[in-house]
Amino acid sequence: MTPVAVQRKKTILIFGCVFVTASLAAASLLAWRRFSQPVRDLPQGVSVEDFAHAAVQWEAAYGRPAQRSDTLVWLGDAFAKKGELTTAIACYDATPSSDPWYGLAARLEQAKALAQLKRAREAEENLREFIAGLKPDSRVTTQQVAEALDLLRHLLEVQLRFEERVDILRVMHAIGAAGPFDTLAYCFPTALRWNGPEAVHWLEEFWRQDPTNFRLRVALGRYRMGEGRLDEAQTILVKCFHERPADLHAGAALLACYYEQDDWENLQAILKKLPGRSSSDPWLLLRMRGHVHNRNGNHEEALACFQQVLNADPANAESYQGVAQACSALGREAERVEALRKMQGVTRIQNRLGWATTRPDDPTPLVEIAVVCQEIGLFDQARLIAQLALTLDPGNAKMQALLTDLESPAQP
Amino acid sequence: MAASAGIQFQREDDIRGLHRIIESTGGGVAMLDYDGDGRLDLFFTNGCRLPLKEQTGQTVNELYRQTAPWKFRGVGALAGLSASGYFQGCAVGDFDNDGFDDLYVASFRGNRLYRNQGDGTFEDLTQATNTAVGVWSTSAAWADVNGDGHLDLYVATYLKTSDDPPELCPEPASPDGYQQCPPTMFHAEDDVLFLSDGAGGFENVAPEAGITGVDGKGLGVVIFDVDGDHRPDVFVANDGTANFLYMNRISEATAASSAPVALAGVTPTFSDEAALRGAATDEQGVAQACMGIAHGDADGDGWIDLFVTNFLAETNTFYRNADGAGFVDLSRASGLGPPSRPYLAFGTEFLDVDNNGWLDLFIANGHVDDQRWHPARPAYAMRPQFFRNSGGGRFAEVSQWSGDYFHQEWLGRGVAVGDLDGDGDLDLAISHQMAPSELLRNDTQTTNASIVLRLIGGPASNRSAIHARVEASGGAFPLVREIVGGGSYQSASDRKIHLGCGSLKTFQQVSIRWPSGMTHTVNNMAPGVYTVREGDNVLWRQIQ
Repeated sequence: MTPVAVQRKKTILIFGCVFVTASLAAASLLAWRRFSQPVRDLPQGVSVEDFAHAAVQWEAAYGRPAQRSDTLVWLGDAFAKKGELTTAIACYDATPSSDPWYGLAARLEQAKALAQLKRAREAEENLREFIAGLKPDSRVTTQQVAEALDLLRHLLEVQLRFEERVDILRVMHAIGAAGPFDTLAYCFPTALRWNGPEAVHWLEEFWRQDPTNFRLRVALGRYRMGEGRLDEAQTILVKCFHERPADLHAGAALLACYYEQDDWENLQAILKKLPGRSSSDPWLLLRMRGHVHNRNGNHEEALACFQQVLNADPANAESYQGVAQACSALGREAERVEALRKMQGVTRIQNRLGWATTRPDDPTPLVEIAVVCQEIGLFDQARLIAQLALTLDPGNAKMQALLTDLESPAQP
Repeated sequence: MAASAGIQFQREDDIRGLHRIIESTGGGVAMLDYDGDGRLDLFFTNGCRLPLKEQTGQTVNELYRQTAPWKFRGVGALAGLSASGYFQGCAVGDFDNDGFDDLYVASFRGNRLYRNQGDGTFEDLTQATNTAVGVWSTSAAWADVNGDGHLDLYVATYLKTSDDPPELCPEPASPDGYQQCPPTMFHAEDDVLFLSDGAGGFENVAPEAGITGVDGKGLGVVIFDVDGDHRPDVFVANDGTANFLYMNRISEATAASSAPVALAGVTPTFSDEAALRGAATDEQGVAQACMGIAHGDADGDGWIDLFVTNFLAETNTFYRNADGAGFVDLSRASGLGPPSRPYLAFGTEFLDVDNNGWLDLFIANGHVDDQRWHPARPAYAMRPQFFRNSGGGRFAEVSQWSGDYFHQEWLGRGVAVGDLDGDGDLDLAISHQMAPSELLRNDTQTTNASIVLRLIGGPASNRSAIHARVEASGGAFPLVREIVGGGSYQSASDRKIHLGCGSLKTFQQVSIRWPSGMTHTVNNMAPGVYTVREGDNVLWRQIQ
């Protein structure tokens, strides 16, 4: 080989090496750029290998390189599927709500995983963030919105937060996401009774995960009352009330505890510490006010309290009883009889609600509920329940006739 | 005491993992002196294999004759009472006024009326008397609703359901794969009112008489004078639906009279005034799952009050009779409400356990379905409860000091009260599910004595003297007692009037008002056991 040929070969070799080295460096740089920043902040429980593997899987599924958020959500779903909820939650948590693709969905999935772990407060926070972040162009499905609302409804009702639950149910109805149980709960917020052993069990699980949570402790106090464990209930609720004397829910629950024990002295003493009646009073507080007013002979004020409950919850039997008691004292016999008539109607509705929730595919109890609703003047409820019955039994002549009747000009 | 007394009766409810609702109600017990020997005997109702077409005839109702104090012998077969079926409640009354107590036995299908023939045997006269009821019947009550001197019969009915096939509620989490369907899933049957024709026959006049309550899932019934007009009214405890309070109304013609008049020849008319009179629901408007009824003047004001047993997490309800105008729910103020929430209660009776004049209270508890697999683990068998009346209708639970029975857990159902051993204090008989029935002898240490009145009505009043009212004065407060129809849960207590004397040597005055309106007053009545016949000025005192 001539010296020129040798020199040319050396040059080619050098350039080749440089090229290869540069390529390798470039590849490494690319790989570093792809993995190094995200790898440094991996969610707890996620290894580098997990992350890398997930990214590859995502890319294989979608045909483009995975961004950090793609990989995080992919990992979250995978861990959730395997039941490794804590790690799943960490992955979702690492996805900011502001992420245009995954932000809201991550909040929902995080909430679902948290709910499974009975971490109610955190689940609720995520759900509320999901709902607050909804915009017309949000990348979520109606199904996801329905899921979020449904889960939030469940968390609220276990905690006996019926007033807030009604707001959620209203939205569910507005967007057509209400299932049969949601419709029943919306129509009859407190007629579906919630001191059953299952509800207590859920609440106790929530509380074990978050024992200092104020709202959970108030709910626990109310459940203990329902179980007849009054000493425990009183201990819990007195403590809650002392911690936050301005909290009307805690105050109302403590009032109910004294009411259960027929302890009017303490009941009145607590009531004096609370502000006067307002439009935002919890329903339980209004009922307690009503009972005290009736006992003290302030029957007009008692009427106002119970009527305020009935405006929000027209199927509240206790309030009809309170109205009847007040009207009896005021000598308003016709109104007393009417209140008792409605109360009796509500008892029939309550009885059928048990059937409707046990057998959600059976239209029979819904038909009967709708008829009773019409009889006692709950026309909105009659309409909704009749429509629900017709989804199960489209040819039901009774319900069709009822709806026609309700649409007639004579009906409110 | 049951086993040592010779009673080894255990009801068969065919509980074997299907969790059928029919299995939940259990049976009743009656105290009656069927043979007129002066000693109380006992009758227990039994269940059988389900569906009914598979019953083997091996489980039968049983009658136990008391041959000596606390000695009983089973004589059901001899007496002709050993029928097999899914029997529920029982009611005792002398419907033909021949001096021997007859029996009506309610059933899931196939009620029976047994006429006591006076020779130790009973004859099934169901068909002959037209008292067959083919729907699920629970409690029954004898009463003379129209005052013609002949007992009529109210039958409380429960749910529309079948035993073949039964309604089942699958539950994957349950080891058996099922849990009990709630009664809310079923429609109600209509109650029955059999009106006596005075000649041994009956006719169901429920519709014409206004017994037309809707949604009545009846488990308990008691018939007594609610409002002091001397006419028997009917209270029905309904399960999860509003209770009925049928007020006995009279014709306008009779209303014009100022004197209390009998209703002979007047068609009874009832109107359901439960809601108007505060007896339909508890004070919070909740139609509770009501089972048993205790009746009595618990607060000493002269009016008969009611105590109704309810479901787990509900309070039992104490309805104070407010001077006959209506009822007031005093469950909380009485101390009876809150302690009942952890329990599911059935049979109940007021009884003056220490003869101090105040009515105390016994409650049999026990769940309807075994759900111990549930994460919340509700109890199945439960401890019974005993409450002592500390005066004026305020009660305190004293169960833990009331004997060994109260420290054990049972599926308590029917309860009957009576002085089984004739020692002047009241004893108890309790029917269980999945355990032998039990007798509780009253061993309360007290020097207080009692007056026991055996009332024999007639000819104007029914011979059983049902609706006779007794008032005894001279103590701190007047004692008022009434012989009622029905009461408790599917059971029949002894009809004798029991008056606890407290520290009194005599009651200044004891007045008896017979159902016919006739009255009989005795002055300075001393403790003892007496037989009093209507219209007879002689008091027959039992030699003890």
